[in-house]
Amino acid sequence: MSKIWMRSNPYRLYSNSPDQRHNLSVVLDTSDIYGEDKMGRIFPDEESLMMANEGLVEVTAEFWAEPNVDLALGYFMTVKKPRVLEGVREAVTTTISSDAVIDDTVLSVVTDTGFASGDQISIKSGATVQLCKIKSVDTNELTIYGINALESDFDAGSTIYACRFYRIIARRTPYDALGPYQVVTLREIIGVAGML
Amino acid sequence: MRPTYTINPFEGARNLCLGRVLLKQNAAISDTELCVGEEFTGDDAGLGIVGTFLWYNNPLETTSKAIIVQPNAVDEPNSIEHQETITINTSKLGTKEWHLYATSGITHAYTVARGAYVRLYTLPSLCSSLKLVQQDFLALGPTQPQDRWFPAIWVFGGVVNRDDLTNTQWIDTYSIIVRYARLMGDGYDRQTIVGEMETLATLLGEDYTLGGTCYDSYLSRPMQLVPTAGRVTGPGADREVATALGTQIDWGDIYIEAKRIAITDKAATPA
Repeated sequence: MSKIWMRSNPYRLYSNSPDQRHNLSVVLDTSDIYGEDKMGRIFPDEESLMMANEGLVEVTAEFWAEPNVDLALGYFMTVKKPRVLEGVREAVTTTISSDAVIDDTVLSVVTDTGFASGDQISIKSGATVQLCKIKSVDTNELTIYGINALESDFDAGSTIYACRFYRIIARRTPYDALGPYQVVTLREIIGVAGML
Repeated sequence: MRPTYTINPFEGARNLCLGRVLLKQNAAISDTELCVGEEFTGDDAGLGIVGTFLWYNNPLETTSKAIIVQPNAVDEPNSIEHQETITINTSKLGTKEWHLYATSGITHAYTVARGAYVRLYTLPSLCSSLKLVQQDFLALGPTQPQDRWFPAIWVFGGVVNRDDLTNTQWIDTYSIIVRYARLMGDGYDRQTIVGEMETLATLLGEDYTLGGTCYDSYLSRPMQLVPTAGRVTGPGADREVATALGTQIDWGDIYIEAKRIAITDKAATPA
């Protein structure tokens, strides 16, 4: 088990179950399965780099997780960037310290610990979510690229996570495999409404 | 562009597969007129689309009855708030009227927002056996099909050709594919899917306004089965098509061409 915890990431799992309507059409319903972060470990999937698909190289990732987690094909996953604070491994997260408005590119935050240039971040206030990328980090200040300038107002207290979104596209181990972990293949996605 | 159509022909065909025509306007208690056709107003007053062909001289329907349904607020299969059987006023069933008329006033209200519809009084067994009727593949994404979704229908297409009609009008031709799929369980015989697809082609062909959504349509190909049941074969491809549990799937397509008019909408004076 310790193999997973070393350099592991907090992640959150979302089921992607079909919800059927009166007219018999089906829509997918994204819901947070456990309501809390689990720990797992993400690796580059070297095999995928060799798979040429009409001239494009499909980049996927391999993910190791505990055996008692429901990792099913099609599920969505938010993999958060980790940091260690006072001996505790946790997600890189912060909150906005003073109100940010549309078109802002500089965000005042409570702490910048763990954030770095190039990180993809998710800013969330209620149902409003924006994804953007960090250009630079100063003391308790995150500067995002101009092309990602805020599209909505975000009040103080809005949460920020450094994270990426994936969909489970294959299983490397069968459901009943004996062993301390299970392995799945992920493909990166932009994110789905309902995810962090 | 005018006129403003409330429902597209894909959705019209999708509902027709279930033996239903959607209401285009709300119906109030004691109404006898049930607006299943399109009736345009304003600059397009006088234009409309007949929505009653599902009940007009249809070999699948031998009664003069229909059932009007108001789905429940909780949008789930078989979840109905209220429904009632109406007797159709056959003297007003024809091309002189856009809508369906009952011989006496209805006893409940039916709303477009809830997806209210009028359906065949006697549903063909195919319609009542359907488990999934999807307008496209996008919502499902790469999800593996489940056994409980079959028999299933996907209505899709993407090609709409626009041709000249007059100097201010165009005719839009929608190419629609209705794909019917069923499981190949024990004792499966391909004659089964042929019979079911014939019923489906009859449903779609009898109502050539596709539930009041287009001026005209025709089945350009009433049936085309996959050449190798349960498999996709061809250059560089030979694979089984199956559900998540491994049950093979057989399918066939019905091709429809549907026509609508688009009118240029230039204001006399700039807004």
